[in-house]
Amino acid sequence: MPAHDTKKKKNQKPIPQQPKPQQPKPQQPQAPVQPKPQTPAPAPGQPRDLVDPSVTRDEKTKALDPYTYKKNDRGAKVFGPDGVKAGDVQQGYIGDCYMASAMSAVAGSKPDAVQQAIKDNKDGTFTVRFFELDYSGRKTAHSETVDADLPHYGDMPAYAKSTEKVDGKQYMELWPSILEKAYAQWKGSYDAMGNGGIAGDVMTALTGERSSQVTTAGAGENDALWTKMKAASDQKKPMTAGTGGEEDPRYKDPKAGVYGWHAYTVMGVEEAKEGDKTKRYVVCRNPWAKRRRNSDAAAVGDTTNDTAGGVFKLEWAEFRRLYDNVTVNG
Amino acid sequence: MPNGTRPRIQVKTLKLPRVIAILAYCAASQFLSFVAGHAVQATEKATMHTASGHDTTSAANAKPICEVQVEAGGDHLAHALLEAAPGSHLCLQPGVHSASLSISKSLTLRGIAAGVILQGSGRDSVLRVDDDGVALRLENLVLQGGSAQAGGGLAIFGRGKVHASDCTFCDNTGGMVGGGAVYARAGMLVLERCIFTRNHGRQGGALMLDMAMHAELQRCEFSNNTADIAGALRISEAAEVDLKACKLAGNLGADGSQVRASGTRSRVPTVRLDHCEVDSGRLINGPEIQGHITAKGCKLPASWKGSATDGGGNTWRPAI
Repeated sequence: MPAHDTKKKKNQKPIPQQPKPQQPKPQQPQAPVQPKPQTPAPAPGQPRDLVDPSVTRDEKTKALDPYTYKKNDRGAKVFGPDGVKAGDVQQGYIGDCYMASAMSAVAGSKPDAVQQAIKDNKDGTFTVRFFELDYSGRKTAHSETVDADLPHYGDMPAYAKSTEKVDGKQYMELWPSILEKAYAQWKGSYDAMGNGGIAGDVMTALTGERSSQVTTAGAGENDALWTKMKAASDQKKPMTAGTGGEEDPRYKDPKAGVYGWHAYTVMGVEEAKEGDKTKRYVVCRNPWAKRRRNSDAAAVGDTTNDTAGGVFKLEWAEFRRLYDNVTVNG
Repeated sequence: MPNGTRPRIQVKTLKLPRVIAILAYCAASQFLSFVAGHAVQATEKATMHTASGHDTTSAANAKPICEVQVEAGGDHLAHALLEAAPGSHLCLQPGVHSASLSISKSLTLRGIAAGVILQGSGRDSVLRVDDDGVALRLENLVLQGGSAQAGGGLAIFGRGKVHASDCTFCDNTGGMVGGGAVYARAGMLVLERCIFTRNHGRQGGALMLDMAMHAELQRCEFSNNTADIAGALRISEAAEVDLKACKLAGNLGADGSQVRASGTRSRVPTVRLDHCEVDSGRLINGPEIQGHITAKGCKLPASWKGSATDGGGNTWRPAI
């Protein structure tokens, strides 16, 4: 089971579901136009029901769905005062590290692409534009409209979210949650997109540019890969990296701080002069917004785990040892 | 040759009993496939073409073309791939060839007898095709021991054409995305008389066919593959797949399905089953967004009846 899934299962608690009224599915062009059924007002203290029924199925069965949908009514806005940043994204209790790492990568390299993808309809809904490639590689656009009611675990969104301190206050930006919800609606449900995927597809969906994946293995220092990543970093191309099997001994040591079957954002590459040598580094980000599980951080005395936002730097050889592939968008 | 331009080679040191066990199991599977395949080939002679369109056998008794002979062991195959001219036919000797290789030019890799094994390193797919325009033909090979996020045996990301015949895919893993044996997402994939066994994928224990691609599977057999979702085949997005005279038996998905197809709100997959046999397990179509699935002349579990369009001539039977 992937590391992110372990996290999800650990926190799974069956919670009785509120009965959900029948509602029309949005964006069904063939459906006849009918008066919208009235949604019963929620009882005081109860969460509002979901407006987009096509994305309700977020676990194996609805009966086990531990989450309830709530409106974000704490003054959250789509974009924060500090703009779109890679560090805005935090993966939730769903197996979509590929999506979270890709959103973070695009946010870090091409924040305009994220801002242009989301249109605020000013009526509580948001229209998100995605791209996909057809059999011939041609780009086509597809849009989904969703509201900001999100599956919650306690007081926090259960899936992708952004939580950061701005001016000393906890501030929540909605854009990662909105993007993820629209993507889930596009693919059919949270469940449909929550069982692994290709980070390159999400980057393509946001930028319209094709993604290419390359292996990290190679002869010697693998200068060809370094050159490719350095060029992508310099040109602000979004990048992600993927790890191998979770049973692999490479990921058993908490000192490694990298987990198997997981996707990471590549924030960039750096070269630093150390003596008469030039050392190569890759800056990575775990979409959990922390590098290690808390237990692993405690075991290795990692005191920055909760403050570094999941960002860490690896030497080139160590990066190639721990990661099996790199995906570059554009 | 500068560093980094050579295909990767990961020579995995295996203990002798493990090697013998792998060779025995997979080579036996391949031998049976090889014999069965050549019986079929006798009636189909001169119809085989390379992916690039050239005849590989011009007459019934003609010797196959082999520009390059590749001995087993070491990194002979990696070197041969580097040096081969595009369009070459590489004939591989029986034995274990270290693989985990990227194929970036059009080639034919041919096992000259049973027991030609491409052994994955456990850190990548046995073979990968990343570039567009590559026409790859695989004949009479065993691809085993690969482990990748998608497509432990064969990962096809580029838009080209891959044609595999009389090949066995066993003990491969596609653990994060799926397609234990094969993950394909672009171009054309043809699989003839191939055997898929004991592969594991997150989605699609044997195959995951994704995005916008076409696949044609003829006389392929799937057995004892496992997955979280769809023990044998996972088909998604706009993939278009024809299965002809294929057999699926004992492929176990944790969701109870052997085959699962689902689309998105912008496109859906198409699956056509023609004279196929399935022993048990569910066909999950969707559940949220269904694909177009039709079956004709097939022997299928009764539970499949509601999930696929009946094209006629099907036998619906209780699950074994």
